[in-house]
Amino acid sequence: MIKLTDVSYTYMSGGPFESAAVENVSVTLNSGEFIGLMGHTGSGKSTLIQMIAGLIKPTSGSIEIDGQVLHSKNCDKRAMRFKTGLVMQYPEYQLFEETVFKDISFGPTNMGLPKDEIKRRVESAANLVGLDEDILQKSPFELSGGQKRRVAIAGVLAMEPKLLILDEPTAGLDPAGRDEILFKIRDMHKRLGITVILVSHSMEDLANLTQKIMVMNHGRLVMYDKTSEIFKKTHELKDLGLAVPQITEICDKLREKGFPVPAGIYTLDTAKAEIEKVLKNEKR
Amino acid sequence: MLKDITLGQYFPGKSFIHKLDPRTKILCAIVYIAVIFCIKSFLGYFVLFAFTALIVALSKIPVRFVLKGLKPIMMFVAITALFNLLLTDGRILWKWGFLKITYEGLTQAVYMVLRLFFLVFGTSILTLTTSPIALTDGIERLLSPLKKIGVPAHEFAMMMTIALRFVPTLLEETDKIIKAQTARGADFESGNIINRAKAMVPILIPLFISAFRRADDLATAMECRCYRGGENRTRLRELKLGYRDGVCWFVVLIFSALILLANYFQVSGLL
Ligand SMILES: Nc1ncnc2c1ncn2[C@@H]1O[C@H](COP(=O)(O)OP(=O)(O)O)[C@@H](O)[C@H]1O
Ligand SMILES: [Mg+2]
Repeated sequence: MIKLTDVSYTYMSGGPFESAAVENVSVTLNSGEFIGLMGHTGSGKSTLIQMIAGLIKPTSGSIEIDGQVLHSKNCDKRAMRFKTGLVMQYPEYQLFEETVFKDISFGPTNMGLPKDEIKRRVESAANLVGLDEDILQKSPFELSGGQKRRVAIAGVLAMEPKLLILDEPTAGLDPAGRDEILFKIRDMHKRLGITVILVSHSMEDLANLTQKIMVMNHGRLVMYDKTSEIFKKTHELKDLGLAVPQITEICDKLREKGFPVPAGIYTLDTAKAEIEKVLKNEKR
Repeated sequence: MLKDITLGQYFPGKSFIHKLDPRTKILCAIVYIAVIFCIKSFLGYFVLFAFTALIVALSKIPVRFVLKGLKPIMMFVAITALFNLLLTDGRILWKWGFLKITYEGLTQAVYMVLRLFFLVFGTSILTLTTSPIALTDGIERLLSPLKKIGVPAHEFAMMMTIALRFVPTLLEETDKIIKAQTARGADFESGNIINRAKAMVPILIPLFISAFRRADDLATAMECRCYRGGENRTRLRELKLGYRDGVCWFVVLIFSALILLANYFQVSGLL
């Protein structure tokens, strides 16, 4: 369980460029859930998740993960670090090793795992993000942008964290690669029962993957609810400069025209079923 | 940690000092530094202090910011003071074993500390009130007479502008890389010196790679816009001397004269 109490963060506090990035966020996230995080650019998403990952200390407020308060005296920093895996925004720049294999194994090596376990993890992580076996011995710097991104993501997955946080992991990837990685992550979430926080601007991805969604606006958490509830609030989301999935929009339009389609539909399958139901009733 | 560096940081504003021509400010800073080293009496330092206080007040920069520039040199100041204090020969005031403090040593140490402090104040006020762009513009204009004897003033200024422009970018980048590697369990805090040096590799390599990539991109972008050096380039903002610069020079010269005059009115008995 992740419990945030009145968490705020101010960049360069006290300076001429002081800016509050996150303000008074209080929320409790359950373990084992797949949680989405959305909000316009600059709304404080990256700042919030960096605090949850323990990389930056909240200016005020506290974060508790599984009973341990981050940055408190009796919190085992390294243990917490290996429990949480964070894929930062545009993570390609974190690559530094001679070979892809060595780079992915950086995290597991830091954890002090035995050699054969590292090898197993690197191979499974590479497989998870769709990297071919022969790429593992190449230099990460001669790969394409998309491949670099996969290597960077694999570097975090190989640590097999209990809490996996992804900051816009698929921004700039091709559609096929994007779906492949996201569905592999969903599989992993289901298989291992890990908690996942996914920051994304793609309403479709959020609709397909998440169970709950947090919405941020100007540093504040303005909504946190089940995915189906969030996508019922089309107007509120639009006011925040966000959107709903296309399929939700279609259903909303149909409802406006007088068809009895329920609100908060966000998957193709339910939409299809509902529309078919309406059509059947019309015929009669 | 990285964000604590004030020396060389611009503090935007619209004060009298901010609006001065950068050339005036650079030359005045040089005069200021020259004056610091000419002072031979405490009275002179007092006048200098009054002048500095006036400038800080006019610039409307919180005193806290000006003082922050001292932080990184504190250690250096302390060591300098200690050496001067203990290693100068002269009339002995206090003695313990081989350690001694002399009258001359004490004076020397206090002078040294004051000089270093004022040196930092002078340069901090210059960089706090002048944007890096204005600063390099000023330097380019000041150096331009030297173009005739083959000094590449424009290229030099352009290089400085670009370097200054990329300092915050690279700091931000370093910050991001440190975070990313920390998230992967990199440990920068424990272990002996060799281990710590090794721990820097995952930060330095990505940093260098990104710096080279940026340099490459910038060169391409400049070429795409037909940049070809300083010849016949015009500027968006021409530097112009105004009444403010006249006032500034007047005040600076008066104060300099006062301070140098103070050298001859050394109050005896006051050290
Ligand atoms: N390193 C930083 N230094 C100063 N301000 C920052 C820094 N990172 C982010 N900010 C500011 O904090 C706010 C939130 O940024 P961020 O958390 O990156 O938002 P998001 O990820 O939602 O786009 C923005 O206004 C941004 O300008
Ligand atoms: Mg972000």
